Amino acid sequence: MNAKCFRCLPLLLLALPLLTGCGDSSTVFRQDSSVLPMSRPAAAETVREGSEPPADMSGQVADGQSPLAGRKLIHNGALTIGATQPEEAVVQARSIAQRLGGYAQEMTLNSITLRVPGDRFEETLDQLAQLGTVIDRSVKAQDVTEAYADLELRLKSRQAMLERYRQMLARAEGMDDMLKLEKAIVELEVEIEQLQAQLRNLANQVVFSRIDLEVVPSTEVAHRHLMPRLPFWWLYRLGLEDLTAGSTY
Amino acid sequence: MSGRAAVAACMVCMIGLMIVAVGCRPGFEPPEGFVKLDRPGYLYSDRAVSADGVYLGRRISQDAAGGNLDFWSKAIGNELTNNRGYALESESQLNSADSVPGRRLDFVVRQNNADMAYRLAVWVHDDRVTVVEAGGPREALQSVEPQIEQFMREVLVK
Repeated sequence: MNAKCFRCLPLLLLALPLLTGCGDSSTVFRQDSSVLPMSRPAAAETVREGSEPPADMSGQVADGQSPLAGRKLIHNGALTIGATQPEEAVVQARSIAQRLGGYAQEMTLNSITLRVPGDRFEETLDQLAQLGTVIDRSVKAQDVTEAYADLELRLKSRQAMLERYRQMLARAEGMDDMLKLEKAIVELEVEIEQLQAQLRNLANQVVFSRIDLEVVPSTEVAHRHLMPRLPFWWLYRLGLEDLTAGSTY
Repeated sequence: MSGRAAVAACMVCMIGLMIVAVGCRPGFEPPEGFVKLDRPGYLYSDRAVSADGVYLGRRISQDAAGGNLDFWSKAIGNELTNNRGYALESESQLNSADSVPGRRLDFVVRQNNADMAYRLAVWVHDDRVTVVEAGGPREALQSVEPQIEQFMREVLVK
């Protein structure tokens, strides 16, 4: 019985990363399992200031029923404003976030990344916009329901597998078998911890929306209006700010 | 099926699985002096950092929307220079390791009273835009410029 099990074990272990990793194109270059399969921009929508949010972003339709009930959405907002004193505006922005139940995640002299409760997201954006002249404002909603469910499923399957390995270990007789099983158990435990951390992280992103505020001196505002921006959201995320961001999502 | 045939079939399956596994996840090997970040952030497929705060990043590929290399390199340059305060220092051709023609854009920007450098390489292939970036304090980045150049030249785009 044990000998048969262990003949299958290497095949199972070999197949594991294939079953978990190959299905998502956004994870192509990852070697671990910590990436969230949600990064394709096609799943996100961007709304520029002045346009009406579509039904799937506001969560409401005409008859008052929400088609998104139970969906897990991550809201991200970016706001660029002009102010005569950018440093003071950044400090005020932090105060606004704290007053609405959020916090400052990162802060520089002229920019701040805020995390605010999802249900205060729009309210926070509106109050931040009052701090100066709005140059650019965008909101992005990302549905991570499937990614969340996928993580939960993977976690459950790993936990079940861990339980089976532990039962096999209890029945194992040979030292070699025991060592192999213990190694497999340790690896599974690590993977389970990683999955749990990803789930917590994802849940936190759903609960706390992210707002990136950049404040530029008013003298630069006119210059910034010279060039109309193109409707490709990822262009706005180029540059050092995201590349060198300490947060790792 | 004889026992020997079964073992042979099993071996073939295992080798096949290994080939598929390797094919699914090409490695990301940062240059010497950099460490790979386990959690690169949702914008990136891979990210690495040096002890001096120079970052390397390969972004999740984006839909080219029919735009060619000229379009995207110009769009990127315009966004950074006109809207973000970056200054374009130089622009050059850069082929990927699998011979896809690309463009490298070198920028500088002053942030928080410090001179920062930002290098970006872009390729367009199969209606996907691939972007690789490097950035950090100017002096620190210049000290690893050869590694960055080499890293960008080794990128596989296809």
